[in-house]
Amino acid sequence: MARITILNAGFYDSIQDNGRKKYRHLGVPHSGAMDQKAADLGNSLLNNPLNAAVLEVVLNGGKYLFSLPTCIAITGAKAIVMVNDMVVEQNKLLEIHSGDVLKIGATTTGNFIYVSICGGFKTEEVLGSKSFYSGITLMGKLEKGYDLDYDSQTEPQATKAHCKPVAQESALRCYAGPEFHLLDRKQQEKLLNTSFTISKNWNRMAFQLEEKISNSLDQLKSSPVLPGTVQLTANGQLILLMRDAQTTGGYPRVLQLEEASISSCAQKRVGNQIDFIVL
Amino acid sequence: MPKAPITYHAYSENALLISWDEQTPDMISKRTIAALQIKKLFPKEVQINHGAYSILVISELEMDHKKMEHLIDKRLQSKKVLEQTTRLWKLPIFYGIEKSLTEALEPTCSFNEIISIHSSSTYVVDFIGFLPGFPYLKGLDSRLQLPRKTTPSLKVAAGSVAVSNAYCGIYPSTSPGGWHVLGNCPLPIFDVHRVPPSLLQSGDQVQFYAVSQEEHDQLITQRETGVLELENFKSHG
Repeated sequence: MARITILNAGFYDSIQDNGRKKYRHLGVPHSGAMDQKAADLGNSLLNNPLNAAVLEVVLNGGKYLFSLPTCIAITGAKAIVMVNDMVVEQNKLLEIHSGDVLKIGATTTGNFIYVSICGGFKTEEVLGSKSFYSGITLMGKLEKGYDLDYDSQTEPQATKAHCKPVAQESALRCYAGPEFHLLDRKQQEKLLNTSFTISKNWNRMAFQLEEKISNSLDQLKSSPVLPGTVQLTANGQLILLMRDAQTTGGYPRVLQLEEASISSCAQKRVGNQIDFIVL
Repeated sequence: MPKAPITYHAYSENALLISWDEQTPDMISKRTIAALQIKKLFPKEVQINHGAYSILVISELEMDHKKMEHLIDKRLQSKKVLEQTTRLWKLPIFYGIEKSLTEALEPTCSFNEIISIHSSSTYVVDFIGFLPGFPYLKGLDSRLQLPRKTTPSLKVAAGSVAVSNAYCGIYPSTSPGGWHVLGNCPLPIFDVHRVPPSLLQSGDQVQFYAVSQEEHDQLITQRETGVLELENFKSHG
C-alpha cells in the first residue's frame, strides 16, 4: 500500500469525508469536511466518489511525503502550496511521483484547505465514515510521523484537469429557525440587517459572532440541532453550529443555514463579516 | 380527550422538525412510537434525532416539506396501534458520591439514603445527546435534583453515573462535564465496534443496583477480556 508520511503536521490536520449521517440519534456528531463544497470539488477533479476521504488542513499546513505515484488536487482556502519546493497551482490536477514532498503554508484567504487523492485516503472507517472525531476515531488530529494509506494510481481517471474555485459569498442563506418567531420585530430586524463579525472563538464545532442580540428568550428543553443551526444564548451571543457540533442543545435556534452556506461560512476568517438572508 | 397539538417546521433543506406541546402526557412513549411510525413510512430514507419534546426527521436528500408533513401527520393521527416492546436494563453501579452532591444533599439525605433513593427508581431513556451514547434518563427523584455544577469538572471518568436538574446520565467516555457524579457503571455504554454502538436507546427503561468495588472491578475485567454478556443485564417488558 502506498502511504503519505506526515513529516510535519499542520495546525489541525484531519481526515474528513462527507460525515456520519446515520448515528445522530445516538448522539454522534456529523463531522465531515467543514467546506464540503471545496472537498467535493477536489474529489470531482480526480473523478473520485464524492464521499472519498480527503485531508483537511486548518490555517497552517505541514509537510507530507508520498511513497508512490498518484494524482492529487488542492482546493479550499488559498495558501502557498509547493511540491518539492516548487510552487504549484490549486484547483488543478497535480501529478505526484515517488518521494515527492508536498508543503502547505499558511492560508491567505479562508481557513480550510483540502488535499484530495486518487481513490481517496484508506484510513479506518468507523460508523460509516472516515471523518476524524476524537472518541469515535482513534485520533482527533494527525501528528508528525503518522502514515496515511492510499492506492497508488498512475493513470488517474480524471475528466477535467482544472476547475474554478468555489465562489465565496458573504450572504448566508438561511431558514427561519424554530424559535425565530419568539424574537420581537426589532430583534428579527437586527438579526437580518446586521453584518456580523466572525469572532476569534471558532473551531470545527462552532463559530461565535461578535455582535450580540439582547433578548429574554427562555432556554429550551433539550432539542435537536444540526450543523448550520444558529443559536442565541441568554446573554445575546450568536453561535453558528458547525460540522462537529453536538446533536442536541438548549439554546433557542433562531436560524438554520442552508447546506451550501455552511461551507461558505467555514471559510470566513476572524474579523470577516457575514449577513443572514432568510429564504 | 382533545388530541395533543403537533406542530411541523421546515428545519433545513432535508430536515423536518416535529414538536409536541410541553404539557403532552406520556411524551417519551408518544415520541418513540411516532419515530417508529415515521421509520416505517420511509424505511432507509430517514434518520430521526430525538429531543425532549420534538423529533427531527432528517433525510439523505432534499425533501418536499409539505408532502412529508402531510404523510407523517396522516400516520400520526391514525388510530393504528403499534406494538412496542420495552427493554428493561438492570445496570450495576458502584456508588461513590461526589462531595458537591453530599454537601448539597446531606442536611436532608445521608449517603445511604442517596443510594437507596437513586437505586429504587425506574428511569426511562428520554433521548441520547451531549456525547455519543450519553443517555438522558428521566425519573430522577426530586430529592436528588439540583442544578449542574457552576464550574464543570475537567475530567469525568467513563461510566460515571451523574445527576443534573431532572436528569440522571451516564458518561460513555471520559470527558469534561458539569453533572454531579454519584457512582460508576462498569458496562460499556458506547462502543463504536458494536452493533448498535449504544447500549441504550430512547424509550428503554433502566434500573440501577449497587455493587461493591470488587464486583465492579470484576465486571471491568470481564469487559476488557471480552467475556461480558450484555444480554444478561437486559429483559423485555
